[in-house]
Amino acid sequence: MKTTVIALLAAALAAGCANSRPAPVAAPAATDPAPDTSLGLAKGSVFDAPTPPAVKANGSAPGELPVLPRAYALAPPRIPHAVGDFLPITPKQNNCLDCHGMKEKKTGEPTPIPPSHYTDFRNSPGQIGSEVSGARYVCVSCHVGKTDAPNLIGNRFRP
Amino acid sequence: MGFNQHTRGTWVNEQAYTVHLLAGKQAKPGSGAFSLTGQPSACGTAREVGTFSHRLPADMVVDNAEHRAHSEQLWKLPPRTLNPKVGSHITEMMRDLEDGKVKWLWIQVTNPFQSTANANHWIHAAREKDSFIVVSDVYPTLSCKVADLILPSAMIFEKWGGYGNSERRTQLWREQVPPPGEARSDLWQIMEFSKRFTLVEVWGRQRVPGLKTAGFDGDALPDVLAEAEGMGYRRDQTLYDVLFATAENKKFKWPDPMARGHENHTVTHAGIDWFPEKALFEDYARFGRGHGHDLAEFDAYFRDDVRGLRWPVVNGKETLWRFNEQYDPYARKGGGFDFYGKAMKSLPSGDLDKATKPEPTSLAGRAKIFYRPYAAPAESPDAVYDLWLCTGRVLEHWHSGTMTRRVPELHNAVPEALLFMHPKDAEARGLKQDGLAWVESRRGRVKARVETEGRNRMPRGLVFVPWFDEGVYINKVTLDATCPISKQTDFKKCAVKVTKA
Repeated sequence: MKTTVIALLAAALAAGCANSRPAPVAAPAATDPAPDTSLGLAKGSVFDAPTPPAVKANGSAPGELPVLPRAYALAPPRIPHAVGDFLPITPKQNNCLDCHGMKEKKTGEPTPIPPSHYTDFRNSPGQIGSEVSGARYVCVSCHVGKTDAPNLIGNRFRP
Repeated sequence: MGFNQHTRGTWVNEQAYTVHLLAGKQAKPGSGAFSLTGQPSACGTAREVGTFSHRLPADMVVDNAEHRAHSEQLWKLPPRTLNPKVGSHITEMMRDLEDGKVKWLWIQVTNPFQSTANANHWIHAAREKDSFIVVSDVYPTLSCKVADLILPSAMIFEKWGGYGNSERRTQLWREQVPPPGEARSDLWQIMEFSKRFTLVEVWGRQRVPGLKTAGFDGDALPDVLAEAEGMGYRRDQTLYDVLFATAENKKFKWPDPMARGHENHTVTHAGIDWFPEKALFEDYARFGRGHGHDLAEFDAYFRDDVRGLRWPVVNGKETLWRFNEQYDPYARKGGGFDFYGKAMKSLPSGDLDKATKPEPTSLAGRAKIFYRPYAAPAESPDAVYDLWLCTGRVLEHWHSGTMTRRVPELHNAVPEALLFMHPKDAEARGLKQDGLAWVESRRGRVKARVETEGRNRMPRGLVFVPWFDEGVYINKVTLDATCPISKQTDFKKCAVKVTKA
């Protein structure tokens, strides 16, 4: 049975000689080969058929949970409430606009859609229109919700 | 990707171009000639530089004697050094691994054991055959799980680098941050590897099974050592000496003022005083300059006012729309458009039945329209495997998810691959939203949770599973039928059954 070895390439260099062939180096001892089952985001063997965990989408009502922190400036903010009941978005009905379609933020009120979304960048850039631009109409193309899935791996990124 | 990942992908793409040509929407503003590809950067980064199994740089090919001779001349190799036999493409490499024809794989920053269809064959082959599999990557991937050796590699901005794209835009960058720990750039790894082969080991007579090319004796590459010595090489020199540490390449010194203080860890780790990324870029650029693939000089891409440059770059000016005399310096003047590509520009002519004029007629400067017959999918649903399976991607995850699933927001939004199906198809199989199901084909099966209310609303008879999740290893289920011309796998169509797990 094969095990997996994490190893360095031999560091021997012979720069500066006409023949650059490196001197033979004893192979590093195969200390701590990592079992394949410990690697990757799905631990276990590639021959397994694991059961995917049951993940719960956020079930909170609008306004129940605070605004979520953004990964970086100008990241489309994540949706802190459940969205299932408000979908699908159709040409005739966009429930997101009903609550978020005002222009000014007032305390305790839904986050307004920003002016950037009222601009048609292709045909009239720089002009803020009265309606959300067609390119921004399907909110869930960019804005996603939350689930209860824990991180697979640590992450120290700070914007 | 359904255009490319199709058993007649080449023909399907041709039809898309044909529609453009018939409508006059080609080679002008708003209708640039554009390679339809799922990863625009594959165009410039893998194709045009020549890393495919049939390619040489600048869109030349190994099985063309003139192309080989030109490449040998530029690389200062003895004639008939280059192997004219087209190598195995990715699916064929996997089959060769299974058949014992390939005993060594070096995988560099791709995840083929997760991405190749009919994967049960290949993971068994990787484990059971006498082979040595090396993976150079940034993160431990599924391919690492079946590998024998993992080499930590520098990530994109941890080294000097560049890529091209479908728009012909070449973009280069300086190293931004050092690679962590023991990670090394892919260039450093290849240069180190090349030091371990002397010319006497690799330029003697070598059998190439299946080689049948004019000018090559039997099925072997000839011994070129005598010619090499005539050119000034020595038998004990290494491929590193011949291909990398050449006098020409060493003229590009490091440090280089254009680096503006940015470091170069390939140079640091190699302990050299020359600039291999710049040297190899200029080496590569020689293949295309004057032939319609002109690249600007290396430094030009780093100017503050440049956002990449679209080749051909002639006299410092990039080409915005190709084949159009207004924009393309290679297009002949007078005709408006000059489709100066050389492929199949001299063909017999005739009627719908046969070629009535076998002597070829020249089509120089003309674009071509193809008519192609319908071809049925390789596998369709039947009584047992009664559903279509389509695979693909989701917005939040890139490919096999090795990067995006490590980003908390992206993973949290879409934590696992779901089985998107129509609610009535689910109900008919005793399944409902969030239920656990087997997705099974003749080739393999995986478990996934049912989604009937998500972003993808499936029609009756078709289910969709994205492939970013190594825990839902859907390529065990897919079929490795490929387009005979492009060799791309049809990931969009095979037959499955779905049952309660």
